[in-house]
Amino acid sequence: MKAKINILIVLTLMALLNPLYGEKVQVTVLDEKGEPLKGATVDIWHLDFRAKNDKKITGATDQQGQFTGRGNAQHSISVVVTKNGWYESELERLKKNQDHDLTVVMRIIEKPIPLYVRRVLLKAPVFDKWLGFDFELGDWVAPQGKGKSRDILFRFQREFKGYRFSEEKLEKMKFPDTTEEDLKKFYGKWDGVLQIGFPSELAGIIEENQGYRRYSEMKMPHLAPDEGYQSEEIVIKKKSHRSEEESLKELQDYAKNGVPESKPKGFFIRTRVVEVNGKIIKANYVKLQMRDEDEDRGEKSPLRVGASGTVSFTYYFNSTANDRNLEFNSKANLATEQTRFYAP
Amino acid sequence: MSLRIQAGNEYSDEAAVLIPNIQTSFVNKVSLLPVEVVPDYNRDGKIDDEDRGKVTKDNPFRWWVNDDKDSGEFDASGADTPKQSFSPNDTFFIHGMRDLVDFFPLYLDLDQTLESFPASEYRYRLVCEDVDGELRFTETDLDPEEAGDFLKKLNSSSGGGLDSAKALASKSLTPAGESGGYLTEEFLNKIKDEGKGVILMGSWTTIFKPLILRISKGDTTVADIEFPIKISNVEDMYRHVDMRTVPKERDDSPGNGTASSLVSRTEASDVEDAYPDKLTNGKYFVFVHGFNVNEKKARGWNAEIFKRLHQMGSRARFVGISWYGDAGVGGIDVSWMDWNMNYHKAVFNAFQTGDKLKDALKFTKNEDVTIAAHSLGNIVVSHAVAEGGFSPNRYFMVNAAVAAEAYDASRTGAQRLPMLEKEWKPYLEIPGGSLKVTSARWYQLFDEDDKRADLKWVDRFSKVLQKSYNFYSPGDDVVENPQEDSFAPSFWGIVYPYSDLRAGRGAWGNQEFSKGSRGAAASITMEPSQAGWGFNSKYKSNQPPYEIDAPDPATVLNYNDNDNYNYLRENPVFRGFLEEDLTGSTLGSAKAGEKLVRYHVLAGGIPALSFAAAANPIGGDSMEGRDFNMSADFRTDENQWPTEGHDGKSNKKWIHSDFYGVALSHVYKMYEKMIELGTLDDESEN
Repeated sequence: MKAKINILIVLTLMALLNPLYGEKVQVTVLDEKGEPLKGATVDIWHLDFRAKNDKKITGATDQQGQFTGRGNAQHSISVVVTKNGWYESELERLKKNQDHDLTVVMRIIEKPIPLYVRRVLLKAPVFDKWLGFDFELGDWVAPQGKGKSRDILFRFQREFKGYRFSEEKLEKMKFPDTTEEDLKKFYGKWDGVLQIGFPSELAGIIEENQGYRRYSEMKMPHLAPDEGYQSEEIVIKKKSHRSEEESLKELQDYAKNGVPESKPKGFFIRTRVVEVNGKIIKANYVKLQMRDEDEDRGEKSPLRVGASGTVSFTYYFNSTANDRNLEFNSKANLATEQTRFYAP
Repeated sequence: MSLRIQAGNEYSDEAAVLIPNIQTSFVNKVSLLPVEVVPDYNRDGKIDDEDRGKVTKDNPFRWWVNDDKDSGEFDASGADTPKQSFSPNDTFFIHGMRDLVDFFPLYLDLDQTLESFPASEYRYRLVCEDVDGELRFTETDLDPEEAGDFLKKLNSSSGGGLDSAKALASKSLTPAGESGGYLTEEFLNKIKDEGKGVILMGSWTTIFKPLILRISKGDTTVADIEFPIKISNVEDMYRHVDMRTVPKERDDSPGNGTASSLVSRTEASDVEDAYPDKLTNGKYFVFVHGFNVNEKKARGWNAEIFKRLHQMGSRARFVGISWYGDAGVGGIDVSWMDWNMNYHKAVFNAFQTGDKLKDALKFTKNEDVTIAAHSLGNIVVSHAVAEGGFSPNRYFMVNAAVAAEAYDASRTGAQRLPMLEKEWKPYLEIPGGSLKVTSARWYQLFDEDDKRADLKWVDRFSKVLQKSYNFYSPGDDVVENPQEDSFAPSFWGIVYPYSDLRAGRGAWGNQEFSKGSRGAAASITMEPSQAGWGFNSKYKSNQPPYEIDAPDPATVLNYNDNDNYNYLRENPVFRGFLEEDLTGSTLGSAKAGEKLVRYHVLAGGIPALSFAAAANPIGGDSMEGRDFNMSADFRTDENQWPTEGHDGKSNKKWIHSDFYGVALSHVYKMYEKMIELGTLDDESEN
């Protein structure tokens, strides 16, 4: 009897004291100037293996832009920050069983506008030749497509290096309609080179890392930069297949040092430049940004290059000359053939 | 359609309504007025000239009985099983957005008729003389040209109106029985003044007598316009193959899968000619459900997927497969408890089912075959394609609970680390470290002609790439990507709550990490532990940081020393196989060549070292344009995603079974894509 009462007391104490235990999550919310953002709503989720058991602690940030919550997660922790007039921020898959001290820099909703937004997969129609791509029309420039403006230039090269599998295994992989081209496409090893160029010296590209916020609904800064674009040709080499040794070494590096953060995360591009005496009087701006799913899989860049002669990326193009605003109104995609959702 | 003229006590001398192609004779004054009841015959979302004149007495409009238990905007619990009983109250209204799939639009083309027979003087009603029938309808504000909006449009146009899924989802219904249900004057005026005139119709019973649009004045019937209709049991409208009794036990004894309550049928049903093959285009669409779907739920899945494809315009011959993916605890069938969580047994069964799939589908006779599989059903199909000689024209992987490395291991390098069980990391990190000490890479110690070189997930299903399209969702909860430093779940992690491993967050990752688990609980809930992440007890010692005292990897992994390779082949660092002969030099290869042994080892003893395809693109040049992010590509409006069934932090996410559980209105674009890829809406043979 005494033992039962003792157990009851212990359990009661645990229930009462529970708020003092569990993971502590402190969230500091700032604006883009680094000033504390008061009155932002912070949801701290302590997730269970079953969604219906997820627990949420909600509060508002104080004068210092801070809110702290404590709870017990069985699975992981997520934090969502919202404030009227600002883009939502969300941090997911924070580890359980440890405290977290987070700083979230919110992005204000300024002036979302219609843009041409597309996710494209470009397959080289020809190799060893410079090809122009038109952001507005989303197509190669003639004769390869219906594009009119050479906004960015690509040149593909590739070399076939054999197959991933033995001849015997390849034979077993054939369907009645499998062609040699299919085998190369699906199981070939390629060394590829993609060169990226720009139509003029004042056009070019600039990386965006510091201002990129993966956790924000709007990941990239509102405006493309004024200066700093590089027009030198970029060369990206890609192999479709690595040796076992290379692969193991990479894995060991990751195990020891962690998986390196993907960089660059985003690009700004300046194109359709009209200049007079070296001064830009007209230009159009584009942003390219990483998709979350690509980053999760270990992709290194918003430009995904395929060794067999492909490049894919998501771009946002402002067709209004001299307007550096690339804050996208998700409900107003000027690329009307697109049906998928694109974040701002 | 046929015309029946009703002669009453007061014979109408005003006019009769005639429709094209029908001969009749009539006395007194006659006018010709076009009138027709027009369905969306080709199911393209528009009722237009292409739909007119298609329905005849010999070719009635065909649909299915609404005899499942749809409700709300989300349900993945088994509501879709056909032939559930209903109460009269059930027929009074549409049961939520999910129920809309069971209804069809009809356009009452009465524009000119209403000029001669105005609604202010004449009554219009819908009648069906099937005494036991429970045919129901509701008036809408849909335009005939946008009749499909009842499914595809979430919200009404500005100003309100009954022209969207949300507006119609709970609408009350009017019986179209013997005495008929009257069309309101308001509705009739909208036909005349606004070009409206679409009703939604559904039935809770079979109907084999025509629908009649009756125009009357007082007790006098002016005209009856017949619309031949045939509403059948949905399962009579497609084929079914029951493969639940295919799998055997590990010792080759008969398995304990129970047959489906729906018998197999590989020809079109002759039951009341529910949906004859002449109305199809000769192509086949085969669907394979996933894990923990018992035989009743399998019927529900098959029925619902058929309905959705049919609504979106597919004219292919649908085939639903039932297979034994709901193996119970300890191998005992406990489907009656709905507690079938033996995932590894289900994987074992999936391989065996895949062996037989080609044969089971031979009735398709090399016609165009599209096959889709959900979740673990993808082991069935992938294995059938890779090793079972099955050659579909295209293969849709939906939330595939299969390691991505099985399809293309060259793309999954960075994923190996988070899939490496925490206590095995040191074997990678120390100098000379290698994954070859793990069960996942043990196969690398053998030459290709040794069958043990095939005990792997790596590139196991690469052949499939040539035919596949991967429908994945980064928000998939059940198959979400594990985080680094994951470890074999504890007793509670596996058992509590019981559905962790079948439906909980991260369940797929959990079962990968539980392979070979040292936890005894794993053996309670799944197959006996072997290999996997367990350690070989012969190395057990008390030396920290490990419980085992493994040989120095630098020594055993010397590429030039066959003796050291032999050592690892015969004395793996990981837990022993149930089949001890596998590590023997004499019998090992032959043992691995035995199918049931191989399948059992793969299912429960060889962990994947990549994320699952369900939550990730397979990637690679060849899959560009064939990986579909369902969440980004196919939601009608992500801001209106249902909260039902999306508890906690799963709200706004496309989770594991959403393509089926979420109302079609939210996900119809995915079905449109499948139809487009398979050209399933090609014209029918007739």
